[in-house]
Amino acid sequence: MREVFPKIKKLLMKLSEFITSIVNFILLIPIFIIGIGLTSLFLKLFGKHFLDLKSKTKNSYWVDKNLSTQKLEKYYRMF
Amino acid sequence: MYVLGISCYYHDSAACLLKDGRIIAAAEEERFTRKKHDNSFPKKAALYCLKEAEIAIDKIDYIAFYEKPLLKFDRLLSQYLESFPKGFWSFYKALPSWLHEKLRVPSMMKKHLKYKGEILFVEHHMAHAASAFLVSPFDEASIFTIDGVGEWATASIGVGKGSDITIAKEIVFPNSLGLLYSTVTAHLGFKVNNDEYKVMGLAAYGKPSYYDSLKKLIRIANDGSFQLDMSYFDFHYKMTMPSKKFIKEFGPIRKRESNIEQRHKDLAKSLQKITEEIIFKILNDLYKKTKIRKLCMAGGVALNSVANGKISRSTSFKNIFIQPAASDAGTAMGTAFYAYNTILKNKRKQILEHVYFGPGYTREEIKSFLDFKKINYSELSDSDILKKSAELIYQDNVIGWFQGRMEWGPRALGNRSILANPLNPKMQDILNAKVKHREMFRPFAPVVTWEDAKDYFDVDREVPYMLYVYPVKKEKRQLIPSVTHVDGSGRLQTIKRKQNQKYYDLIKEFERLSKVPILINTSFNIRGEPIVCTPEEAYRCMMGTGIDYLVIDNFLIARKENPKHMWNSESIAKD
Ligand SMILES: [Fe+2]
Repeated sequence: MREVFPKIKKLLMKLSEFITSIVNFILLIPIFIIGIGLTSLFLKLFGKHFLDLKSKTKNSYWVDKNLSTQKLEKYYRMF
Repeated sequence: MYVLGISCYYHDSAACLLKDGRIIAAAEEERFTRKKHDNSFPKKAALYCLKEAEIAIDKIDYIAFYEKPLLKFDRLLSQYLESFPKGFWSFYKALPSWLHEKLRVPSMMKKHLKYKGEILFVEHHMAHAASAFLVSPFDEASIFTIDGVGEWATASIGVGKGSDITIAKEIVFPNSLGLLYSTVTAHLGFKVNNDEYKVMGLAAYGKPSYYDSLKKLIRIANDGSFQLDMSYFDFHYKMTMPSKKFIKEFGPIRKRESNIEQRHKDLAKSLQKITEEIIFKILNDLYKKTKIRKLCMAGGVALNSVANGKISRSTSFKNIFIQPAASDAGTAMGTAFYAYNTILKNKRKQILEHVYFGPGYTREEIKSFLDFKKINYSELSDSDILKKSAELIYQDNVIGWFQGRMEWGPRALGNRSILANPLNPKMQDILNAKVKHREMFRPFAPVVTWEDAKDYFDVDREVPYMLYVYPVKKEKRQLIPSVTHVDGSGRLQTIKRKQNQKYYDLIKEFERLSKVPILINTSFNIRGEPIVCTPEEAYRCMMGTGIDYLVIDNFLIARKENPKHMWNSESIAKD
């Protein structure tokens, strides 16, 4: 029995992972289509770009940051 | 005051504990979970740190986290918004873990560590910058960080002064030298975020014949900043990296176990050439801006030891400090110091002089393990263990050398090392047959006593962390063939007695026999596994491989004198 239990446990774990992946799939399809898709299409209509994918020749590709020590409160934020 | 630094969820999770601004303990999670580059929450590493300090979690004043999770999530969403309708599979794979863990950092701290105190979030490249500057010997330095990607940044330049760091400029996703390097790594049939150093090793065999083709993928400005042509890449919306256009340009993706052809070597060389060109251009421009000759570097690309070895020749920087755990593990250390020194405005107290911050074991603990497992061993005096070990190495035996506290960072530096005789021209084959099973194009690395280093290598600085490749002197290449790469270089470690006395004395003992103060030093692990952490892992590694002897503390254990029981570690070796 001692050898069987871990095998059953492993099998159940795999089954639960499989069910989770199916549930995730079903839930994420509408989120992707409605949440991501509609937002993307709508904002792109107004010329919005979310990533700079266009290749353009510039003198420099550095972006100004000027980040130095901030007030303590700012570090409690996750953004 | 106790500050615990944590990095996780991308690759190389780690924890680092400071007490009043000095390191008490630091380790990567992979060493405890035995899962290479483990990216899960570093619970075991953090608990080890607390154990080392003999404190409970409620004594921690601050936990410092190595990135701003919401900024990273913003970048991820931007990738999906930009590439819709492509990107669903990547979205499906990534989103659950973001919702369960990555966006709930305080809950994860509570769940894994029972921590309910203050958490400080430091931007990723700032954590990289701090990991180098705040533990460097410099009061003032130019800073350059470069990796795959953090939140949005993939590279940054700035200045450190006292306890403050200013990041002046950054390059942002999707423009990333780290991701370009990883894309070529994937194209060459190696594992991304794992095998980039193999591409660097392979480059020595190639010619830069793809340099012009690679230049189509990346625009490089005079100041070294760059922009990728994203039509060659898929990584912004897919789990795979090279696009169809990339494959059309450079040929099919190499299958993992298939032959490595000349074109693969040439592509690796071309990539290395471009990488160096970018790094040196950026550094030269950085010096023009800061006029500070001291340089601190961190980020995964800062592990490119071939490029690092050329910095002082190719740029104005003569004094360089690179965080030994330059990839994301190092940000656990960086964010902890940033919290203590910069945010909380405490004076800097730590200069990194060694990396032995991991678990160690007392003589009694080791002896009771050996006795409990009924392992045959002999215990020698301090001087006899050195003499005997040097003799065994000189006789071409392969030695597992396990001493003191485990190393922080990706390299074994004399406490969890496999040591061998560099004078034997067949030693590379012997090591590969017995234990390492490496690709033949990858050389082994030498450790040399600092005062003798200049006799054997064209080295201009101490290199205690194996972060630089330097040429082996022409007249010495025949003498130490098994640590000389095909291009005549070696990724050496220099060692001073005060850094690791026993290791240093062993090399000196070997010199007494061989007249050469150099050993082969390679990491003590089974192929595809993390470096060993405990005496039991070291013993298992020896028993399952062809390592001839294991030296733990002053205990000498011969493989032949012990039955091959426990496990056959070779059977689970993977790469
Ligand atoms: Fe990073």
